[in-house]
Amino acid sequence: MSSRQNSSITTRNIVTVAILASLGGSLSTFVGYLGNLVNLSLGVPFGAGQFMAGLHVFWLILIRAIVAKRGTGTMGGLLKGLVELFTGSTHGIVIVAVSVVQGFLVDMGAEVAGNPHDSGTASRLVWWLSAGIAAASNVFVLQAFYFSGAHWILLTVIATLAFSSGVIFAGYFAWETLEFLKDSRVLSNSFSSTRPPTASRRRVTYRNIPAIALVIFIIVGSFYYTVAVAQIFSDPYSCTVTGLVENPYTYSPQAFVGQEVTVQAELQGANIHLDPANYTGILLSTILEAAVPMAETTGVRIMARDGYTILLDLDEVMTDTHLLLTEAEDGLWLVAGNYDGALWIRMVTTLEVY
Amino acid sequence: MTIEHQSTESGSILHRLNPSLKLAGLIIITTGILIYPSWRFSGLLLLLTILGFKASNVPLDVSKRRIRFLMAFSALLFAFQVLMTANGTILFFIIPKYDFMGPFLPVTDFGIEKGFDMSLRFLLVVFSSMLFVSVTDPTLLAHSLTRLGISYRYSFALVIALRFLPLFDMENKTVKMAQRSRGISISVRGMSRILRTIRYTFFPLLVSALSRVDALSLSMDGRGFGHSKSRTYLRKSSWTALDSAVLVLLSALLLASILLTLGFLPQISAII
Repeated sequence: MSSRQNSSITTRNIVTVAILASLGGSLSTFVGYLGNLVNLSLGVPFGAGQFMAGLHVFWLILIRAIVAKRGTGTMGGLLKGLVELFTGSTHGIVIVAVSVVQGFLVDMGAEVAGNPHDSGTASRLVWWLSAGIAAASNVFVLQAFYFSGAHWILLTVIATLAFSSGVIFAGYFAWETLEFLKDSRVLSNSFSSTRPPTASRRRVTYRNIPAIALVIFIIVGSFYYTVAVAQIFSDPYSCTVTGLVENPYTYSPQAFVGQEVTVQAELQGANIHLDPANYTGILLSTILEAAVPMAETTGVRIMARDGYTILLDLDEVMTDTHLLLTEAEDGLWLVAGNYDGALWIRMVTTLEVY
Repeated sequence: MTIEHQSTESGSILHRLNPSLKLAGLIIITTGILIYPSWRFSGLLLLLTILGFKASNVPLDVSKRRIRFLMAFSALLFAFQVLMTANGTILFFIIPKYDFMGPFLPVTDFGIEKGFDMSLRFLLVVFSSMLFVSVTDPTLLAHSLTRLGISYRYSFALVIALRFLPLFDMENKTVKMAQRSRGISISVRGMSRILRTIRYTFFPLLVSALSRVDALSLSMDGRGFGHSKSRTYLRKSSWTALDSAVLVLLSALLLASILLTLGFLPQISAII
């Protein structure tokens, strides 16, 4: 019957995904409660609750393992997210994005790992690792929405906690659950064939267009976010010199050894004042000269990792002997001795000539 | 478990809008504030969302516990951004200079601006989602998704998932009571106890849920579900001129976010 519409997904498959997504969504409150209990038992207000992150992915792994069909992880993630949205998740529609990404990662892992029912140790390991990665992904999706500028060490710690939770609860525990379901014979008739019926090439291509579009969107989005927005993998002691210059390059203090200058400067802010101190680094004029600004340029835009941006007049920059980039504990600092304290910038990432 | 702020039978404009359009609106608002991160823009949209609650006669009477969580998380986001943002005009230091130590943890105007941006963004996402849920019938949403070209076999999955929620909620309570009567309590002290707690909760519910799959899918197959490319509906969503007008407005909002980010609207970006 239903095979006329879609040769690979049966009505039973759809019902299984829907029911497990519904159960997972309805138990999310209980999982949240357990997370709060873990927080309380450790005496921390938040964060430790990520130790329960794997329990959200547990359902997606279960869906993908029971309905061993391509895309059911993502479908389950979308449904579970929508169920949580409609039951009043405190993250609103963001929970749908979190859940879809988790489901997609579970699908990706399943593609690599293969059939969960007759898998060996290596395959099982891939399943468990993909469960961990899917659980950790929630940290990065939430970071993109709510925690812009979070330090990568903090993110790594929380993501590691979530990853461990994923391996334990969505990996080990999910497999234990599958074994239990097999033993209790609940699954005996529910397992679907691992070899989907053949379909025409054109039909398969057409069917996969949304998945291909999603993959492209995620890859392009991740690339854009990593390169243009987050810059989390860039060396904190380097910055990009770009814009209207003939020789764009990545500045690194090691390339300017012997050209350091030491200036005495004091931070004079509107509300705060820091005593004069000596700062050693490379003058901004030296750094920009190496890039060879074009003739028509008038200014330089200086950007920091947290998104803070200032504009300076290029002519003034090129003649300023108290404007330099120095190395500090968290990256490159712009020391602007002749300017207001608001123009002293931490964690400089980009110098753009315009 | 019930559907939060379940759609009420009201004749408000928001209730009458096409469900897919409302979903698109929610996505556009969320995307818009991601593309153009500004606390004024988020604040403006939040204000419009609250007016949406008023206009659709949906009471904003969430539980005290939930309000407490939302406010606490919003404050946490604010504090986090303030502490993590070192740039901008320094207003004061949280740990002032003492003798040769410090000062540490500067609070800057840019940090406060980012803090407002994030906390308002969070509140906007949550409240706009709550409003969407309040004025949208899931069955009609499934129908409107079908009209967009999604197979009814898939959109019906959403209806199934939501329809089973009250049943699972009831069974969850039954399982908990059964455990309590056997002297099994929820405990998170140690990994084995956490696993035991989860096992005793999840396993009975899973067996119960999966045992319904066969009956439901056979029943659906027996009624010809999936036999034809289209199906009939008792209640249908509709698309009116008002929907078209709102779609234009939403598209304009998205376009404005993009133009503001690209710097093509400097006069407006100076205000919001």
